[in-house]
Amino acid sequence: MKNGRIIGYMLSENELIDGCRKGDRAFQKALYERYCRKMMVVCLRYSKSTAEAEDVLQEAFVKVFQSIAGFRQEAKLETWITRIMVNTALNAQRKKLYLFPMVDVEEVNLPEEEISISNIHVNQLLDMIRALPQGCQIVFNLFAIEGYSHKEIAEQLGISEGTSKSQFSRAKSLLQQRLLKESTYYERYGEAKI
Amino acid sequence: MNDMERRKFEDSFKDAFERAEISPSESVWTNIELDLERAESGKMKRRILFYKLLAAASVAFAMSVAGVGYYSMKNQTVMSGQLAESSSQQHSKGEINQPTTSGETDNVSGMNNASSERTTGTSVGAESASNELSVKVDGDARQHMASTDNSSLAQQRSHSFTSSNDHVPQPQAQHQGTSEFSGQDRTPRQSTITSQVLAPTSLASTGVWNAKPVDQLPSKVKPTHSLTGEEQAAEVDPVAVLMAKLEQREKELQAEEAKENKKNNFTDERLWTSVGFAAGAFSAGSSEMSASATAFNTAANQQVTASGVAYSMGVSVGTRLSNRWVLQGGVNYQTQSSDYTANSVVGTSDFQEFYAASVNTADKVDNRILSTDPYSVNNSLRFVTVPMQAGYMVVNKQFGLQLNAGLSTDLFLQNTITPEGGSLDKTTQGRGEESPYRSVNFSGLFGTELTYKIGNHYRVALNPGLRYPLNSIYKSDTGIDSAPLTFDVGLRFRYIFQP
Repeated sequence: MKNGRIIGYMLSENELIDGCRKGDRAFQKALYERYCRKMMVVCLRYSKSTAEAEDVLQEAFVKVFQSIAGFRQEAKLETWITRIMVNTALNAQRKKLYLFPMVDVEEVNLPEEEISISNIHVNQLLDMIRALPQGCQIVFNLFAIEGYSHKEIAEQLGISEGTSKSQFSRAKSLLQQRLLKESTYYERYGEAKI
Repeated sequence: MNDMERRKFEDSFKDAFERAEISPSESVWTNIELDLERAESGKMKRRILFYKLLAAASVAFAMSVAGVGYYSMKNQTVMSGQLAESSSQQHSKGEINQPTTSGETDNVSGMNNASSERTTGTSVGAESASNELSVKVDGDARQHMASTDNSSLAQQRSHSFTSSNDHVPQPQAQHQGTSEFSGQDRTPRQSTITSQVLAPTSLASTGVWNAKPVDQLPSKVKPTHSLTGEEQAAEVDPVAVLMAKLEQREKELQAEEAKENKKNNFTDERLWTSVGFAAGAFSAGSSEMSASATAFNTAANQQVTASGVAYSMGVSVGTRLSNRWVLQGGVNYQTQSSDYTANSVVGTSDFQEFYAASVNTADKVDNRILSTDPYSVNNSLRFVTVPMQAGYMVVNKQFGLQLNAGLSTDLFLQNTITPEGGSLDKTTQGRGEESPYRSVNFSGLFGTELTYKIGNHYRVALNPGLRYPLNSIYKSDTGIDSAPLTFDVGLRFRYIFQP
């Protein structure tokens, strides 16, 4: 056990949790290194900039280490950490939402044709999501990727269920428009724009 | 687009991000580490504050209990003194009334003699009983006297005290006086009234009144004289009431005295032994290090000023010196552990081995310091301590409260420097010339002990306390002056040899 990088790949999830519970910095670093890249994606999905995402990542990991003693292992460690990331990101966004509250947006007609995202790089998808308006970005993440229902989103964000639905609908429409452009580009030039 | 396709759209996003990974910048972990260390030091500060408050609260509690106990004890003594004094004043009033009524100033001196002699005890009381006041009054005046409370009181006192005190000689004049006074013939004539000066059976010099049981008074009084109906009504005796009160108080005092005597034997819980452990925190406080601010000295300074946790375990024996005072001694094994951040390492002369920067490596410093990234180092000190404390038992019942103060001889064993991260080896330095720590230290101890008796032979004790080294724990040639103040809370199990 010379440093955190070595034990990070060798240790089981339970060993990592036990080490972190004792406050051992090497184990904490190992846990961080195991999950930081995945969690960075989560934070980026909810943020507008990389710096903002890193702030959320830092704050959330501190919370993880401070509250891991109370982690009862009813869920997978990754799921638990992701939940902390999402909650921390939402807390950061709430301040902005207080200034610019989410409102019902006009329903939009979704394109009829099927749009595939299989050829689009994840970084591009991330850019598309981050380019969405604040409310749309949060609701889309919570509904489409985290898997929350509109009712749960409404409760969590303090908005009506209708607002959540309309924000999602708007987000989806904007994404599809953007995806259509990308697929046209792909058809024209034969490769994905990365 | 139907619902299934819409769901497919959302799932495709979910799948796309399922395995996605993006590396954050290196600074994120550094910031997390800093945040964690800041939080831990805040936690430590809160813990130290908690122990400080606990110790302060214990001391304040002990002092207030001691104060209340002392006040109530003192108050009781004053009350009993006042009661005895007021009873003597009552008697004095009764005596003074007679000569005032009769106007015979000559008799006052005799009465005063008796009054002053009364305080000297039983034998003097007996003597004073022989003092007679011959008061000449005319018939009207005599009748008036007989009908007043004062005269009847004086008379009753005369009878009660003379009759209750068997060995007091009964002067003949008294019989004359009383027979004349209570006789049928009330024609005005010159008569001699023997006013028997109050003769208490005993009056201790402390002011405690020792009277005979009050129920003897009426039986002894009755046969000696008979009073008219008015006189009998006047006889309903405030003095007897007062006597009864005094009697009651006397019994109480006797009971208290007996209790006190029992306590003074202090034969119970005379000798005990205990085993226990304590946990707490220490703070280096105003430690000083006379050295320039190099990378090495910064680390050493952090080591010297670092706060940390302290644990100890050990055995002790205690004995009672008196009713309230106890003496306790024992032997403990104590560790003090603290963390500090170093940003340099010290190499050996051939640069083959490196050690964490610490006070221990101060003599290896010359041109062999290498700066590094900040890393955490743990310093663990071990001592054997021999405490000797005197204690005062404020409360010693089922629940006990004791204030302790004393001295401890601390024998330094070793200190271990453990760099975290694993790239540097830990080093252990025992006592002796190589060590920067003094081999023997002396510490002042102060604390309280809250105990609870379980059965005949056991007490469990919770003792918060302070430990303050009377000298720097570092050798004087290191230029470091540090006397860390330790707050700890101990839990001890006491076995009582003589319950």
